[in-house]
This record gives sequence, C-alpha cells and structure tokens, in this order.
Amino acid sequence: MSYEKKIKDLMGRLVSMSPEPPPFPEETQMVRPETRRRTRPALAFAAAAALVALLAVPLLLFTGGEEPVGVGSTTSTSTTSTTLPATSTTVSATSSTIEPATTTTEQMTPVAWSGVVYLHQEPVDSFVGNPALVPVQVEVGGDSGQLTPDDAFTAALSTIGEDLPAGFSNSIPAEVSVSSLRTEGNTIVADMNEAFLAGAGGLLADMTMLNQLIYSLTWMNEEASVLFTVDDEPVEAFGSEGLGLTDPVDRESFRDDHLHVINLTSPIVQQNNGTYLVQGIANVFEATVTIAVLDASGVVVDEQFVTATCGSGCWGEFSTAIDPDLIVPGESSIRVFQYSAEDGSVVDAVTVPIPEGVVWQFTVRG
Amino acid sequence: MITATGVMDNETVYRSFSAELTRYATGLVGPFDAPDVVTDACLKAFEARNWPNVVDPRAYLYRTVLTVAHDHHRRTLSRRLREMRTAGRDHVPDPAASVDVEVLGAVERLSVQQRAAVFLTYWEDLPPDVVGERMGVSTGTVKRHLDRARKRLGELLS
Repeated sequence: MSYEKKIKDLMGRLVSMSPEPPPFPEETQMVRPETRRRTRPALAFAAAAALVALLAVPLLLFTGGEEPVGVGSTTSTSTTSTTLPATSTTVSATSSTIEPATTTTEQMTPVAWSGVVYLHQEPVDSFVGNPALVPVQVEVGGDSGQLTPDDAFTAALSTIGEDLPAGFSNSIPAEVSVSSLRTEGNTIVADMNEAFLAGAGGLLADMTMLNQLIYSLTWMNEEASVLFTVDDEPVEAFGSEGLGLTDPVDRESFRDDHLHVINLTSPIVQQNNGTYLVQGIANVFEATVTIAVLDASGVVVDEQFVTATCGSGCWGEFSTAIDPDLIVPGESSIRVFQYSAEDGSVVDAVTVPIPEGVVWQFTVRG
Repeated sequence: MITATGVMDNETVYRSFSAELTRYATGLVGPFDAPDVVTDACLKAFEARNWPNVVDPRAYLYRTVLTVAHDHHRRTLSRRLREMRTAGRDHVPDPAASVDVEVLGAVERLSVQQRAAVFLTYWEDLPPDVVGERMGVSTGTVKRHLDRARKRLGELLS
C-alpha cells in the first residue's frame, strides 16, 4: 500500500468514528441561555469599565466638587469604589516602586493609577506602511499622595517618550499635554495645551498622534468620542494640514487612511484564566489574522489564525487566547500578521514582546 | 436581532452542513468533542456580525470549526487518550465504543492545522487552493502543513 493510500486509510478510519451531528442549537433563535453564554473578554472589560465609570463619576463629583471626571482607573487601599475591579483583568503585575498610601473616602486621593496608553510600531513588510497602534499597560504612582486619575493619565501621556519599551514609538511631542479632562455624555472633552495645535510635524505623524490620543483617551470606553479643545475653545486648525477638530472624533475617524491594517486594542497580558489575550482590529484579506508566538530567539513556537468579524475591505475585530505554556514572560513575543494573498509570505507583521510585569511604570513626584 | 427568516436560514444551513462539519471536527479533535465543536462553531458563526453577508457559508463554517477546535480543544484529544490508556476502554464514554486508539494516537501527533490540511486533502480530496480557502490560509501554508504532517506520520505509517 502506498504512503498516500495509507494516509487516506487513516482518514477513513478516523471518519468512521465520527458521531452523529449534534442537534440544531435552538438557542440561536433567542438570547442565548446563561449556561451557554461565554462572555467575550473585550465585552466583559467594557462592561466592567462602564460600571466603574458609573460608580466613579458620581463619587468624584460628590467628593471632589470641581474635580474633573477621571478617565483612568485607580488603585488604592481605600475601601471605596475607587478600588476598581476592572483593572484586575488587565494588570498582570504590580509595581514594586509604587507604594500605595492609605486614603480615606473623604480625600479620594488615589496614589497609583493603572491604565492603558497607545503607542505605535512600524509594521514589517507592509505595503502601505501606516503605523500600527499598540497599547501598553502603564502604572503611574504619585508620591505626594495627591495624584488624581486625570493627573496620572495626563502625566502618562505627557511622559511618553521616556524609556519607551523596545519596538514602540510615539508621535505625541513631549511638549503636548492634557490640561484637563471631563466627560459630557459619551464624549470625553480633552482640553489640551497650545502645543497640541502644532501637531507632530507632518500629516501622517499628525494623524498618528491623534489616533494615539483618541485610543488612549477611550481605552475604558471604546464607543466614546473625544472633543479636543485648547483653552476650552474648539480646535479649528490642527497640525500641518490645518485639520478642523471642532466636532467630536472617535476610533473610526482616522483609521481608514492612517492606520496599519492590523492594530492591537488591548495590551497582551495574562488573564485570570491564565491565557494571554490578543485582541485587535484588522482589515485584512479574507479577515484572516495569523498570530505566532516567538521565543527569545525569534523562532516561531506556535502559530494560529483567527477570523476577524470582517475583512477584505472592512474592519473587523479579532480576539484569541494564547496558551500560557507557550509563553515565557520577558522572553516571548507575539507576532500578529497576515499571509500574503500573492505569495504566501508573512506581511504586515506587528510584534509585541511579552513583559514580565507591567510594561511601563513611573512615579510622578509632586 | 435574529429574524424568523434568519432562524429558518440558519437552520437550513445547519442541516445542510452539520454532518460534514461533524466529520471534519472529528478529524480535528476526535469523536468525543466533535459535536461540541460543531455546536460552538455554529453558534459563533450565526452570532457573528457579518454572518448575514457571508457568501460561502460552508467555507465560513469550516474556518469557524477550525478556529474553535484550535482555541478550545488543542489538548483535549491528548487528555482523552491518556484517560483511555489509563482507565481502559471499558471506562470511557459512549463514543469510545468504536474508537480506534491507534488512529487517534496518530492524529494526536499533528497540530490542529495539520490535521485540517490532511483531512481536507486526503478525505475530502480537495485541491490545495480549496483547502486553503476552507482553512483561511494560503495555498503555500497548506502545502507546508501537509509536508510537516507527512513527516510526522511517516514513522508511523512506513
């Protein structure tokens, strides 16, 4: 018997074990019963974030009076609801440099902030060459004990550029900072300093800077829009092209022409169930995104693909879990890419290292 | 929201493909978990935002079955086989009545994607480009998976 025939025979014996097809899943006709529901991590996170926002906003308003509404989450030893459960899904390690101080309900002065800031990366073998957004987990500690979430978030954004993790870039100029943040309905109003108006020096850099800011500001609520102001006035001319920003913008506003075809939307960190979650958006051929795990030498130790919710001309979301046995924190990397429809080569690759702890942390001295 | 028409369409699609999807899932994860994989894959597909726009539901469902098999059942076959070898065939669940441990042991040597490539090529007799379409990968990737699968099976079948 030939070798090919032996494989066919093997397959035949395998298929002969095939059970009866399962019955039609009736639950597709209605809302899926609780017992079968598997909450998507992204949705769970968004739901938790929304809950946090609902809890945090009235508390901050109540206790702070003129305190701006926080866009970040806080970690403190306080027993109030500002100790946020939402962050536990993304924080993989705690900072040894941040020493949370005891706070009281009345003070509402969080001393450590954990959140997400979007940087970018130049993709490898990309035909278009737009930068890919890559979120990183950040922790900000305030040693004065007076750091608010907005202060921390502003500090994180304003400090981007110092000791960036390998492979990451930033298009937000060092002189650009967020003066204040507040929310109006589903819109985050970000009042920027005057340096914001100058942009980042070129159309693509301007757009990348805007995308970084928009994605960072909406990391807890992806559906929110952002209204940029300077001195509380709408921005009528931004950057090198004098782009008008008088209306709120959101994650979709500048992605078609100015973002890479594969972008990550969550930091790749270990989940409560042990797996590493890779989440993002892509506009790739046949909606097929490939995810490879690389070891310290860059050798592929595992490869899998995931089908985005849309592709070949439209943006879709993708999400997949990586087996923790494949990951060595501090050594492994995740490469997200697509195979070329023309020649099967790896194209549009974005590679993110898996850190041992929080990617990036610093202390703001007040 | 799924309309009454949508329910009918989904059910029709399901009845058309569930048998071959179950065989395919058997090739990927073995007979024990194949029904679960098919059910989960169909639920995932039917609830996908772009499902109403899918032109080739068969290819889409094949890709979804492969995704579900890869995501959730990568190690299940190995575990099942370990249990069978430890406990003996008398103590394993119903599908094991007709289980061929030797065959499953051979399949266990392959990655889920290699299993898919081998199954579609040698059982369904599909050419590499169609296998690639069903798997959501390029033809070159299919050939690579097949080549590796042949090598891994080589020792067993020679």
